[in-house]
Amino acid sequence: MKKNVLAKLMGVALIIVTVATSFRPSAGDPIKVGVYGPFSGGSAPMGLSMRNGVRLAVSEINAAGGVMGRKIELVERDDEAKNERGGQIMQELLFKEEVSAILGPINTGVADASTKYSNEKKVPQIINVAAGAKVNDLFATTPDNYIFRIAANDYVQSEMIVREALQKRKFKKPALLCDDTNYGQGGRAKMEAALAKRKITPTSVGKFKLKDTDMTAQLQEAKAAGADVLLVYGIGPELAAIANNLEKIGWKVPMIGGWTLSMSNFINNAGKNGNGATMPQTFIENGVVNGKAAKFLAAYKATYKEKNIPVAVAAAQGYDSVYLLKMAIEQAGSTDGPKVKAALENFKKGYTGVTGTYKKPFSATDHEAIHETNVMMGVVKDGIVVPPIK
Amino acid sequence: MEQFIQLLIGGIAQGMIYALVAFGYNITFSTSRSFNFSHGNFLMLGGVVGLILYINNQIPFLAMVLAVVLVGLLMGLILYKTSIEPSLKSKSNYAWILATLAFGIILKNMVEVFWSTDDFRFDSPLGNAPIRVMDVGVLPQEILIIVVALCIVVAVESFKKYTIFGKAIVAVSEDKNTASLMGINQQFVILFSFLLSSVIACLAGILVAPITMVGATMGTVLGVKAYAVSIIGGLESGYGVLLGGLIIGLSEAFTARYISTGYKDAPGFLILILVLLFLPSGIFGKTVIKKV
Amino acid sequence: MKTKKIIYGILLLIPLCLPQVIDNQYYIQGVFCRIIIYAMLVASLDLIVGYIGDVSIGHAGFFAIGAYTVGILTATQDLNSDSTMSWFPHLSFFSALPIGILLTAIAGFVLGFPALRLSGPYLAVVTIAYGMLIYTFINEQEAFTNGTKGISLEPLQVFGIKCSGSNFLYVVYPFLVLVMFVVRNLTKSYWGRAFEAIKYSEVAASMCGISKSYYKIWAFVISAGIAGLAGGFFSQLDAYVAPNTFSYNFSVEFLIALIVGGVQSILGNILGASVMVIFPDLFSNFNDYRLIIFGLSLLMVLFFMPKGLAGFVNLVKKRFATKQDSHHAEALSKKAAEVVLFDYTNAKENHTAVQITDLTMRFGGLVAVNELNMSIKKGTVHGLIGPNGSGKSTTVNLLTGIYAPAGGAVSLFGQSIAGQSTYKRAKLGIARTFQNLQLFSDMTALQNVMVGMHNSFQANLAAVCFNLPNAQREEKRAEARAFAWLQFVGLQESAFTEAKNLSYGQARLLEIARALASNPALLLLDEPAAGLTAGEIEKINVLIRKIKDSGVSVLLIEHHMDMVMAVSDEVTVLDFGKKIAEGTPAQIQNNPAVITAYLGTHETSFH
Repeated sequence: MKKNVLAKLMGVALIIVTVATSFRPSAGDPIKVGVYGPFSGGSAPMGLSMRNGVRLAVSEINAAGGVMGRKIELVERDDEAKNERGGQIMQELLFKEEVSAILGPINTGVADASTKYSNEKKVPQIINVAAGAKVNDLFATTPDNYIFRIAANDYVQSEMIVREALQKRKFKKPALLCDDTNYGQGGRAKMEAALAKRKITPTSVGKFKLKDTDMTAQLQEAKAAGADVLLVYGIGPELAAIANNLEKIGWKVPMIGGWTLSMSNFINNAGKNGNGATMPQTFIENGVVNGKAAKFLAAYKATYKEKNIPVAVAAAQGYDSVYLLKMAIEQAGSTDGPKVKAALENFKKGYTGVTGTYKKPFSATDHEAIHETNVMMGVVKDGIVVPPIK
Repeated sequence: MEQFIQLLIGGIAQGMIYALVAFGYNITFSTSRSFNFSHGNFLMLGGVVGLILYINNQIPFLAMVLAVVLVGLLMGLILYKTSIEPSLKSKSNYAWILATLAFGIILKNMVEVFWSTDDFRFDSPLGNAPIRVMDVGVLPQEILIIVVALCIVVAVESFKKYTIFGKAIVAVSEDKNTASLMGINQQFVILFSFLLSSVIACLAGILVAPITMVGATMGTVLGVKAYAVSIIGGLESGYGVLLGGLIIGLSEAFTARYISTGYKDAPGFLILILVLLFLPSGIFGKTVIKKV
Repeated sequence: MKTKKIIYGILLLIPLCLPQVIDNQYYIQGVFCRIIIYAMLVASLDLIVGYIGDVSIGHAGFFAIGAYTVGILTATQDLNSDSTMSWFPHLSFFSALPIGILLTAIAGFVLGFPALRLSGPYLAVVTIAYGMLIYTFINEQEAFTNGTKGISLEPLQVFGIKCSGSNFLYVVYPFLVLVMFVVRNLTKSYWGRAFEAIKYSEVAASMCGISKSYYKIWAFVISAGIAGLAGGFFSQLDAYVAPNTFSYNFSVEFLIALIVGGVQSILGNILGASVMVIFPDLFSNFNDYRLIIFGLSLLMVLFFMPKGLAGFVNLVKKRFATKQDSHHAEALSKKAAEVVLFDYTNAKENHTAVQITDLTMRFGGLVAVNELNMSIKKGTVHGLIGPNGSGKSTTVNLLTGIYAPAGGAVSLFGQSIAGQSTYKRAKLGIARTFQNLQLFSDMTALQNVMVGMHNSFQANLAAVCFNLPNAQREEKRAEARAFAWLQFVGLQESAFTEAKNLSYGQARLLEIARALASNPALLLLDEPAAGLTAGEIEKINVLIRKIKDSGVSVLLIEHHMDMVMAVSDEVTVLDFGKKIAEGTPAQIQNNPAVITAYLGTHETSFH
């Protein structure tokens, strides 16, 4: 009996060895770049828009002759928004596919579970959506930090949301309502901190889960506490449920929240109830004046045949992250991780992208491309996001 | 007071949504001791088909409902032929779990790939404006859901009680062998129960769509909660499903309001465990003494 | 045998050389170590699903407790500077791990209780609820767990040596071997047989002296403990834990892995875990169609390998097993020759075997047994007859403690057994067979008899888990003895046949062998001849006489009057729950009350 088990174990070991050895990475001409994010499941709209933005930029670059004469080859992996898949995928991208750089992910938890592998292997990673993931915080423990971000992080977003509510619009009693994901709770903590700085405590702090559709209880709590503005942090569908429930219980209160209020699944599902929702934006589809952004929009719509980009911000940031990477590789003259990192930290040329103009997006101590100056407040108006009325 | 009534109505509506879904577990468990673990995804399919036909292509409401019923029948048949029948034949106790889970994975991924991963608005044919009585707002769709849930349960329970075929279902549920000795075609009864369950799931999909929005993931959480609901009431009792729905729906609403929004789900699950500790077959379940 | 063991020992060491062969962190840590950790979790799930037969969809909760305990106890402030955590005990990994296992085992203990009363979909939903509650708790207790934002951990170090990356294998692999060793020993021992016996028939198991509560709760405790161990290692895999990993879906994935791999098999556990880890990466070339392909391949497995991957492997292997079995049988029959079957330690001094006084049982309004007085003399065969529904089986169920009587008393060898549970009565020396067979269908005839010998096993849990010499000896002795019992009833040819594949007559004999194996002082035979041919009945007659001659008292319930009259020393007749006659077979045959009772309802002839 015993030998059966042993034989079995051995068999498995042998299979793994053969499988493993047959997948030896091959050195090829193209520059391999890993992209990961949720391409299935509830967060997929963000992941897919990001991936479309990335794909668009890569096809443009390749059509124009590539980077230093080499084509970019994307290695795409679906992390299903699961932390543990994120860790496994990153190891696959870094150690098996041996990519030169990594773009993504979307979910804060996935990022926190997996960015350490980039640092370990010294491969630059540009986070292009996850707002809550640790980036500059990593310097404390990892001075040699390879993680960069082009997305309005939670500090920036929370500060802007709170300023909009308290200073600009003079509300006195904010109530917080955040989803119970990493993203929502990170936002909650940072909004609380931003409020505390102004010596204000929220009248109530509510929480909701993904796929919740009945927000009556949370809203009643906020209403009973006498709130005059709702600061929300969540993703599209649940934010839409909040807007619709506000209408149901007959409470007219303004909503200010994270960039996700611009997701098409918020705008469409909330309908007229979404009007007036205000959020920080790095890119506003309908406010495009900048030539580059207009070109991006036209190309995006032509390529993917979408009337509106489901998550325009993710697409724009995904697109820009590729160009930042391309310029850094060209400046470094190599795909070697430390060299590309150094180039990213010390941009010589400056870059005008879809989400704004970056003279020197990163520095050796600041890996955040987006600061408050790059961000504007957008407002939902009749099915689209428009720049604020000056 | 308005707050309380508002919560009450919200909780009841949510509970009836759960009950509608839970009913599908109930029907097939009675006949085959198995159910569709991907029931939530069938609901999702109903919602998606409804959305495509009614909202995107503007076909008349009743024609859409008919089409959804047909889709339900078709999916029920495919599920039965590809997953249930082979699993019941193989003597493994777990085959049906794996089969229905796999079926659900395929279904959900197909919707994501061939349609969309996004969530969409489904405008209720009754309008989206809440009816307001004394500061309490109720969506017309919520009233419809409550009414339909009650009707379906009453209809199916009377069907079981008063028609020959319904009695055959009960007979199969109580004793397979004796039922087949009495000339009841067991296979057909099981097939029928899966068809019925899948049609109800798809109809529930269009019914809840205006509240939950339509997307590939709309059924996942509903499917799990509804499973709990069907068990609290007792898997073989239609009326138990209604009571189970009320327990979970109301406990969620009131916990979120008066205890903590983070612990919203906890009391429902605690009640579930407590109920089962004292009534192992659910509130309306029959405890059978096994004869040795 | 010895050389074989050494060879396999060396083979077991081979995976430890993998990092030298494949210098790639993805394969070693990302894939292989992940498989190892998941395989431990699948094995723990297998104890519940495969052996105990309950479906658990809450094992992610146990996994989470293990992962979080280790996470919290080893976390440092540096890496969690912006967290809400205030408590950093800074334990080392190997001091945190046992605490994690202990806490998880306690959680398993708590879940064991609902599992005693519930089964099937009812228990499954409780496990879901349980997993969700654990998830909610972790998510909300921010002061301890940093809530949804999770805990970042330092790379694993053991005694100052860095064990992250490929080195992680050296830490985690020995534990896989240990877990699989323990699970294998446990499931192949009398413990494992007790688990399975409970799965197939709780009543029959308790009649073999198995306490359902004891074994079921232990199964949950052990399973949870292993899950906690796996969870502890999981926290080190990405050096990050966050609650949303441990969702309902995670539990479902593990259930899928277990079923695909095949239950009740260590190979299956490992294969299932491998599928779970490797498939998503293998299929990533299908891009967005990946999950469709995954779902389809699951259905394929189900169609072509209904017992999972391991079941398929076993099927192939079985073709070569027949020869092995015959060797084994030969060896066993040699040892069985030295076995003394009936030992008289159980034969109590000059007492009446059973004394029943005013025993009454009601089902609602129906009085099934009405103030029955009866005694069974030691070393005799006592027949109990009566028309259908006269209360015979109810009497047996009352004697064995399956029903609690409404009134009256039962004593066994002068000692009252009122209120004793079934398995305790079995220990006191009552054994029975069942009118509708209650064999453990997937176990072999030999194993069925060994379940009957449950009370004779002395080795404690630790000895069993580590297969210590005393447990080995005991097991070998029991095997020989069980074989001897099969010889006694004439089933030695079918020792390695699964009970479900026996003929009806053989199954009835096996029930008798299993009952005798518990070394009873009183044997209750509930219609042992039902459905048998005349020739088979004659065999049973001979058997009953042999049993009686060995000093065992027998209560025989039968409809075949010829048989009852032929073997009984005394006969009691019941009608509508009341005793209407008692006496020797000859007296009964001429009793007018008996004849009326039978002629009115039954057509059995007396001559």
